[in-house]
Amino acid sequence: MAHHEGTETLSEHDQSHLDIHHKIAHEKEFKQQIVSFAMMIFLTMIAFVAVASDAISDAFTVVFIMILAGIQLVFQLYMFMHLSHKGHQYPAWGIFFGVFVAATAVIALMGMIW
Amino acid sequence: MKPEAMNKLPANPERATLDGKNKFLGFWFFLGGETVLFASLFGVYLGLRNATNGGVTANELFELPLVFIATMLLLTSSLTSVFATMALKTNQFKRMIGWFVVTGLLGLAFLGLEIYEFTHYVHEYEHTIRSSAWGSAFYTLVGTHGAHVFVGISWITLLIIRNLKRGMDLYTAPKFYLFALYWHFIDVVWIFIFTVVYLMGKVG
Repeated sequence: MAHHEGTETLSEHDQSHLDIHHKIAHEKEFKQQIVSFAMMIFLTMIAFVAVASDAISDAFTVVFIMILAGIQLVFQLYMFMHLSHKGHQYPAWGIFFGVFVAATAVIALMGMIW
Repeated sequence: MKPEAMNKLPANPERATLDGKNKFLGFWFFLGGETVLFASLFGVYLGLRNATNGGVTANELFELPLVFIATMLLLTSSLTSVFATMALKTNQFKRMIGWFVVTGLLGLAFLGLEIYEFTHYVHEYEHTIRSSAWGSAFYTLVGTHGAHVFVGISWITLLIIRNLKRGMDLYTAPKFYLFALYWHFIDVVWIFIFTVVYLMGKVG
């Protein structure tokens, strides 16, 4: 019984060691989140400026801002919603199957003639 | 928070129990379904965006500064809910609640702006859900998103009130974690609304 307990609880030294590792990991993640957020603000500003200025042709602007939105989607899913973390295989299947059906629906409905 | 409880939670408290795992997986599948819901509305909108029935057009109606402010509010609220999730993972209950309160307030500001926008369109431009096919598509798509924001604000308010005394444990962690996921999803939808509806409306 005593042996069993010993394997489950960490010594004080091991625990503090583990805490430091967690702390470093969280600080790294914090920095990544801030950078992601700054990138998203930046991409949003570029999209608004691209539309407000007359320097770029309309057809190109539409393609350009759609690409920017796509990049922001990846940032949200992988950074803010942690899709890149361990144990997200099935969630990824769920959301990407949804995205696949969604893309099909948008293409089909867009093409409808009114 | 009791000091001895600090290290008792596992690294991913939202998925530490079977209940939490099921909620986590089920919620992601739900978001997949929500994606399809919004896609159908986006598809209809794109099909009807020029069906203005001789009335006001998107280019005449939309004002970019207002949309830009709304976008900044929602993007920032996405960041604050990330901070809340990080506090959740490091078992800092009060800090998590604080960030979720900020998230909810930013959501409320966004919603206020949207209500102002809609009443402005209706009263100044007589652009209503019945004006044209485009009007119907516009209010249905943007309104459905606004309704999601409202649901989100109600959800986090109830969650905070109900669990404020309980604190952080394996029962409350999945609940708060899922709200953060939902809130990010709302932000993702908004990214496509400001791009497809407002910015593309200005381009023509």
